[in-house]
Amino acid sequence: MKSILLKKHLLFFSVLFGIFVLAQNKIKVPAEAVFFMEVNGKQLNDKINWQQLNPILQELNKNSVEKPTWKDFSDTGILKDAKQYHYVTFNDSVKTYTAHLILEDAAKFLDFVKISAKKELDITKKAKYSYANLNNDTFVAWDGKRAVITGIDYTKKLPKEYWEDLPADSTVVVVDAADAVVDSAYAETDYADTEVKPFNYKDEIQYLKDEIQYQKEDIKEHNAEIARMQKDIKYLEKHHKYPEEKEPKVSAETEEIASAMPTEEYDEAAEELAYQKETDSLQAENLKILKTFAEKDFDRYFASDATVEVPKELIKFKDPKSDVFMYTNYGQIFKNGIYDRMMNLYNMGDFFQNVYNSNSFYNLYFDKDKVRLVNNYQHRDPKIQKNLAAVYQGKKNKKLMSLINDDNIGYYAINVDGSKYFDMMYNLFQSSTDSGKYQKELELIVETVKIVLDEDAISKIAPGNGIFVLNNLNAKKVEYTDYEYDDDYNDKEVKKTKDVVVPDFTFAFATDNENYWKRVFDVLTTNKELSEKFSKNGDIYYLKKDPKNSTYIDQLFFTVKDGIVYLGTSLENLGPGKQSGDSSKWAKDAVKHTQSGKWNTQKLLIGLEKEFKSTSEKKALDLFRKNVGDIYFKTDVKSESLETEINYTTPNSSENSLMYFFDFCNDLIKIAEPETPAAL
Amino acid sequence: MKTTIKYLFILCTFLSLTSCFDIIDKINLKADGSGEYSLILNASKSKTRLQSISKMETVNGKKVPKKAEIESKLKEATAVFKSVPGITNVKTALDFENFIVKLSCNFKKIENINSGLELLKSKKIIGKTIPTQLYKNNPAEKVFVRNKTASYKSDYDKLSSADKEVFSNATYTSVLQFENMIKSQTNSSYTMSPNKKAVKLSGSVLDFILQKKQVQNTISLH
Repeated sequence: MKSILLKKHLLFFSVLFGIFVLAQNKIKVPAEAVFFMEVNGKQLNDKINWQQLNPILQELNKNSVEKPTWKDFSDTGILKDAKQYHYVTFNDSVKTYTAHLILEDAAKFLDFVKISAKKELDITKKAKYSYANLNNDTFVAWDGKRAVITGIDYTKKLPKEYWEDLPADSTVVVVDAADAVVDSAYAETDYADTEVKPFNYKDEIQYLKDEIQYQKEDIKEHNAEIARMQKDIKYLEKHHKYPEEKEPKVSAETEEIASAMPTEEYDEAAEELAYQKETDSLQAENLKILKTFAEKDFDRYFASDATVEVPKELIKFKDPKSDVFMYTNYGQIFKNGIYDRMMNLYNMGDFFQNVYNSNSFYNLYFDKDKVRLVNNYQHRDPKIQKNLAAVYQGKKNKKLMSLINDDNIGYYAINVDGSKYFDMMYNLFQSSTDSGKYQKELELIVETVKIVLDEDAISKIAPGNGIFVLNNLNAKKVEYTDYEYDDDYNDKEVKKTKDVVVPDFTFAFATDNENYWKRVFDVLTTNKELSEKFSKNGDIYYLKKDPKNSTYIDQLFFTVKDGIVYLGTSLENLGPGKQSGDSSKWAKDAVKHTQSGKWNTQKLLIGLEKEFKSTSEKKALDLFRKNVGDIYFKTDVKSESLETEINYTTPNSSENSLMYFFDFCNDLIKIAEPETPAAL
Repeated sequence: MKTTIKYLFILCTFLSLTSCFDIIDKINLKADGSGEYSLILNASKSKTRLQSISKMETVNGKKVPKKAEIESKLKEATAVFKSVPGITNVKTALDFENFIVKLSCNFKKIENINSGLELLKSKKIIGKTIPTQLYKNNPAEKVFVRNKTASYKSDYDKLSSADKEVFSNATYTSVLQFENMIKSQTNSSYTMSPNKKAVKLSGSVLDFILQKKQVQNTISLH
């Protein structure tokens, strides 16, 4: 008895729980979104000094009449500390951008929308929400608590024949007949629903009624036009000219009668009018289609509760502590964008689609004194991702990193496994044939390349460790010709000199086959033609200095020693430099990571100083010196992804790195403002 | 948004190292209406950058012309100019080391230069937007006119910011020398030489494109 009672209770609670779950009608972000962004409003709000920011935002939002559309961000009616969700979906014909906002004050929001639209809004009231179109492709919907903004771009899909009729040459691949072109616009609008809605005859009747009304209006317009033309014919038969135009009444009607002028302008005006009419009609038709899409989206959104459900795939690498999280599906962007059709025209199309078939996740942090962006890149094919990870797990090379020294402006170091690169490329080629096109041929080519290439020998030439160091930016005196005038304005050619900034850099990479490189360099210095440009001094090979050469690089030196190939613009930097404190720390850091780099922007700007001569340029340089920070990045293989962390240190005295950007904007606004006479 | 773009533009301008060139044209007019015309394009100040660009295939998405292509174009222009009645002694010089192009010729009357430019335009050697009816001279009435040119603002606005950058430091100088002394002129932007036999107009190319400075001038001679 007890067990029956227990079962009944369990059943009751299960049903209750089921109802509760069903009642939680969450809004789903489409799994096929190519871009998704979650803005952590609460965290950002805590970091923003609104008193300071509002005037800057106003300045940035000045409209054409130079009046800001709002005075304070709270005038927008958007809740500052709520999460915002933005996403983009697109298929072959519809591209949609959607933003979900939480409102603090719906009335203020409506006012803000009205002012921003700069026109009278045509508001459609629905049972649960109201919506309006801001322009021909942007719609906004709201209820008391929430708002959705959606931008829709609809391009009617061109028939397959259009692409096939393009000028064909031998490289054109015949599009697979299985790729039947279907305008998936309507299907796409149902992306958030997994179930297919049954055919609703009532909707269909309404649609047909609307269509009849539209056609009727069109007939009316055409009839009026025919009547006017018949009238003109009769007048022309009788008077052999068009009726004299009376003093123009400035109204819409007079524009229509502009066609009565038997002049050249007449034809142009009539043509323009006809064109405008056709464009307006197409735009109206397009707007009608877009409205249908938008409305479907809004219905779904306002039928749900405020909870947003994001597919796990899209937030795989999301850090809840980040201020902004973004996801991009480059594979889909590549496939569904213009490249889709383009790629089908080329033999390598599948290969490139395969290369781009990846997801990227970004976590953005506005820390106290730096901005941090962490990117996780993951190929959608686990096999290729594994290959990629293998490439990015190369051996470390300490010797190379000794080139990082105290005086450097910046460096970029890489430690990959060159031998694994071949495996990755073979895999990319082999898995590029989903459609089965040229499968056998590609397999044969890959196999032949494998036989011909000795991957081990190649990877010994350059195993995959390298570094580029920008040692300095030097000034070089360059002579140029100018023209000067005497009192009678006779010109005279004069020679002048000016300083040009030239880079002093070193590029070095590890090798397990020093002899190979020595042979290459020996050929450069002994070959009859090449030896005119290259020479040798002991172990150092160099590109001879050409007095006529005024390019940024005067001389190049290269040598091989201790398993490293060096190439650089100065002799003294073809080897380790002085390391202490910071530089030694960075050198040790560079050994640890697959990829890393650091740029001292202040040093870079000091080097570039000579390139900024005018007062406004110098003013800009001073501004950048005050505001620009250093960049550091590193890449490693982490959690089945390639993780790249980019750090940008913020140098000025702003409250935090988020406010730093706004302060920087403020300084930019000041510098861009024309000087007042008083200031002059 | 427009303002934001403006600031971004400033940022881009700062980051790209600017190049500059000078355009110089000079007319030496005798009392009988004949004279000498010369045109110089001097990009010598940017030769470091140009030498580097010349090694590239494209810059800002546009094909970089090869030395031979430029030479052939200049040869073509010389031949066209030589064929114009009234124009003699056509000379061209191309200095690839310093990036200076020179063209000079003698004319019977200044309108021959207009015809030469018109012919260059019809043969598509120069662009269709380049003005051709530049000068007018009436030796009997001793009045020389430098005609107004159309505004290039809309063409300039259509350029990408990288292309606009080319004009940021470019200058234009125009010298008009006369055998007779100048009685008066209508455009005070032209400075007059102390001997009153020449006027000179100079400014940034951008000022002329945007018509902040005007080239038109009517000069009355003694």
